[in-house]
Amino acid sequence: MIEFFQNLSFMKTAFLVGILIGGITPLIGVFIFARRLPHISESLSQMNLAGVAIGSTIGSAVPYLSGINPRIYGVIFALIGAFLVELLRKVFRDFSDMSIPIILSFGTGLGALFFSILHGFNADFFNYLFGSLIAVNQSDLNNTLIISFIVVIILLIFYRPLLLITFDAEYAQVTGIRKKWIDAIFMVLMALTISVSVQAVGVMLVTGMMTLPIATAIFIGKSFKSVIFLSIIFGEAAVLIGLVLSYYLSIATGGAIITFSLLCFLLVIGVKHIYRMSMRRHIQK
Amino acid sequence: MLQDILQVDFLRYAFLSGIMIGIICPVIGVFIVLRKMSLMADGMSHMALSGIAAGLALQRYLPFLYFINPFYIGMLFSVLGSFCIRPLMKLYPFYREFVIPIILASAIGLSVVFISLADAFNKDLFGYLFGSLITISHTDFLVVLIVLVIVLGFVILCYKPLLILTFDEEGSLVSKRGKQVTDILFTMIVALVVSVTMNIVGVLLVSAMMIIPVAKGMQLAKSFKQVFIYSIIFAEFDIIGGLVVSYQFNWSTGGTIVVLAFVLFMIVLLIKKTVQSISRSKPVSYSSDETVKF
Amino acid sequence: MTIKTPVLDLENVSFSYDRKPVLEDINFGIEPGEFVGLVGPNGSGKTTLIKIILGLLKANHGEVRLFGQPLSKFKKLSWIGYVSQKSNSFNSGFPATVFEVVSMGLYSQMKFYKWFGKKERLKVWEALEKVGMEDYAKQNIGRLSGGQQQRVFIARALVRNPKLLILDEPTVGVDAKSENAFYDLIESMHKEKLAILLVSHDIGTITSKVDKVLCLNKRLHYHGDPKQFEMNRQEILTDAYGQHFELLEHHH
Repeated sequence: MIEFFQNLSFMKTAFLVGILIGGITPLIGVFIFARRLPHISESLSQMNLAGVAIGSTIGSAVPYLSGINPRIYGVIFALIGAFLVELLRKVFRDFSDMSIPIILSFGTGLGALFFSILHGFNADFFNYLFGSLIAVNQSDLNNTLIISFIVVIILLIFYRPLLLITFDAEYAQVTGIRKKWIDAIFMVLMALTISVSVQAVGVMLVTGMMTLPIATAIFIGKSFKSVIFLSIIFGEAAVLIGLVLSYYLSIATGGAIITFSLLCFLLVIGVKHIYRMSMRRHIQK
Repeated sequence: MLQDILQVDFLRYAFLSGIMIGIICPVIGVFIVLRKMSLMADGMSHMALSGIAAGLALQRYLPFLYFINPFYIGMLFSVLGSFCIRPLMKLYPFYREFVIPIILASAIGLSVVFISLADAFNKDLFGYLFGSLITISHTDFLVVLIVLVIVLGFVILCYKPLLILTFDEEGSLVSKRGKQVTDILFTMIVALVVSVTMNIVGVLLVSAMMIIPVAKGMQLAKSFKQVFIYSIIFAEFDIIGGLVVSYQFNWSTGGTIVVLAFVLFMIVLLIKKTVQSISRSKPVSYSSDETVKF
Repeated sequence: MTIKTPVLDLENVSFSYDRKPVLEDINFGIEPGEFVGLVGPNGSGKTTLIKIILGLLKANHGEVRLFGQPLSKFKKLSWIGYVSQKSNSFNSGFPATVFEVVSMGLYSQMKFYKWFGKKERLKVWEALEKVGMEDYAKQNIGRLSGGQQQRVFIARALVRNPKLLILDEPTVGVDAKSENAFYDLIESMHKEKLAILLVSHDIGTITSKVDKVLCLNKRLHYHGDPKQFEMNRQEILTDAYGQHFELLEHHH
C-alpha cells in the first residue's frame, strides 16, 4: 500500500484521465443503449483504430503532415464508419445485421494492415488495442479534459432533443426536431468519446465500457435520470478499481476494467434474480 | 513467388489451407447470413480468443497440461459462448441486440486478463489476432483438411434440415427435436470453422471471412446455388490475393485479406448500382424472396 | 356570425408512394372545437394522411393549412398534440418514468438553458391529473398496461396546451374497459373546446360521438354529419370498403 502512495504522483495523471473517461463514456453509453445502437459504437471504435493507423502512416510518410495528431484521423474515420454502416443497412434491408460485422472487420483489417505497414506491431499497438491508462502523460490529460468538456457541453445543449428522439423518434419529429441533425451531432459525440476512451480500455473494449455499466444500471434504475446516474457510478467504479487492480496484478488496464464491470453486471443480475425468486416465494406463502 | 510457394513448407501449407478455407467459410457463411447470425459468429470468434488466452495461461501455470493445445480450449469457449447468447437474450427482452456487444466485450476483457496472466503480449498474439502465415504447420494443414471434410459432409448430409432451419424457423415442417439437433450441430460446426479460419485471418477477422464473400455473392446471384458458387469464387480470390500481397510486401495477412475483400465488395456494389440505374429498376436491395429460389 | 379560421384545412391533397397513388384529392377542414372522426379500412391511407398533416410526409399536390397558415410556414407546433398508434414508435424498453415522459412534451418548446422549474412541473402534474394518471408518476412507462400508456401519451400531448389533438388509432390493443374510459376522457376534452381528429377503424363507436365523420379509402368517400352517415351507412361503406365491409366492422 505504501508503495502505491509513493507512486501516486505518477498515478495521478492516470487517475484523472480515468475519472474523466469513467464519467463521459457511460453518459454517452446510456443514449447508445436506449437508442439501440451498440453495434454502431463498435464499428466506430474499430474505424477509429483504422484512422489512427492511417494517420500514423501518413504522418511518417509525409513529414509535412506529421504535426497532426493521429487521433484526429481517428475521429474522422469513425464518422466515415457511421456513414458506411447506414449505407450498408440501406443496401441490405433484409439482412441489415450483416452490415455491422462487415464494417467492424473492415476497420480492424485496415488498422492491422496499416500498423503492419508501419512495422508497428509493438507495445504501442497493444496499448491501443487493450488500453493502458498507466501510460498516459500530461498532454493526454489535457486532451481528455478538453474533449470531455466539449462532449458534456454539447450534450447539455442537445440533451432534450436527444432524449426525445431516443424515446420516440416520430413524436420528436412532430414537435419540430430535425432528426437528421440531432443524429449527426450524436455521431460526433460518439466519435469524440470513443477517441478518448480508447486510452483507458483500448479499441477492442470501448463498447464494453459503453454497454456494461449501463446494462447493470438499467436493472436497478427506474427513471432515465437514475439510470444515467447509476451508469456513471458503475463506470467510475470500474475504471478506478480496474486501474488499481491492473497496477497490482500487472494486467492490461482495459482487461481489468472490463472484467470488473462484467463481475458487477453478473452480480447485479444474480442478486436481482434471487430477490425476484424470494419475492415470488413470499407471495406464494 | 510461385517458386517460394512450392519450396517453402509453411507457405505451401498456408496456401493450401487458404484455398480450403475459401470453400469452408462461404459455405457456412451463407447459412449464417440467411439465419441472421452474423453477429453471433462475431461473438463466437471473440470467445475463441478468450479460450486461447485461457489455454496460454493454463500452460504457464500448469505446465503438465502442455499437451492441451490452446486452440482446442478456444473451440470449447466458442461453443460455450454460443450457448450463453440465447439465455442472455431472454434476460433482456427489450434489448436483445445488446447481448452480442456484452459478449464481445466480456470475451475480449477476459482474453486480455488471461493474456496478461500468461505474459503473452508478444508477436504470437498478433498472429492470433490478425492472422499470420508463419504459424501454419503441417498439423494445422491437416486439421483444416479434416474440417473441410466435416463441413462438406455436414452440409451435404443435412442440407434439407439446414434449409428448413434457415427458411422456416417458426414453421412446423420438421419436429422440434430435429431442429434443435441440427441447430446444435450447426453451432458446433461454426465453432470449428471459426477456430480453423482464425489461423490465417486472425480472431478479429474471422466473421468477415464468413460474411463479406457471401454479401458479394448475394449481390450477383440469381438462385440459391449461385449464391454458394459466387461466394466461394469471391472468397478464393480474396484469400489467395490477400496471401500473395501480404507475403510480397510483408503486410498483416488478415488485414490484407479483409481490406481486399471489402474493397472488392464496394466495387461489386458500385457496379450493381450503375447497372441498375442504367436499367432504371428498383433501388439496390437484397431480399430473401428475390434471390432464393430452389 | 364571425368567420373563424379553420384549425385545419386540406385542399386537393394527393400523395403517391412508388408511383402508386395512396391519397387522391382530399378536401376537408376542421373548425375550432370540432370533434372529427376519420374512418377507413386498413391500408386506406389514414396514417399517411395524418403524417402529411403533421409534416412527416410531404404531399405531392395540394395544400395543407394549419390555423390558416401553409404547413411549411406554420411555426406554432405546440398547438398540435399528437398521439400515435401505441405499438408504433415508442421505445418500450426505455427506462423512463411517467413523469419524465410527460415532461418530454414540454422539451421542444424550451430553450436548452431554461431550467425545468416549478412552473413546468405544475403543468406536468395538471396534465397527469386530467388523464387520471397522477398516482403513476414515478412508475416505469414500460411496465404499464396498454391503456395506461395511452393515457400517459395523451397527457404528453395535453401538457403542450394544444388547440388541435390528433389521435391515430388510440384504442388498438387496449381492453374494453380502458376503451370506454378513453372515450370519456376524449369527450371531456371535447367539452373544453379542443378540436380533435380521431382516427379509427371502429366505425360503430365513433359515429355516436363525433361532430363530423370522414370516410377514407384513397379518396374521401364521405364527409359530413354522422347522422347522415348512419342513415346511408350501407351505401357509403360498400362504396369505400368494397363488398366485404361487414367482415371488417365491429359488432356492438
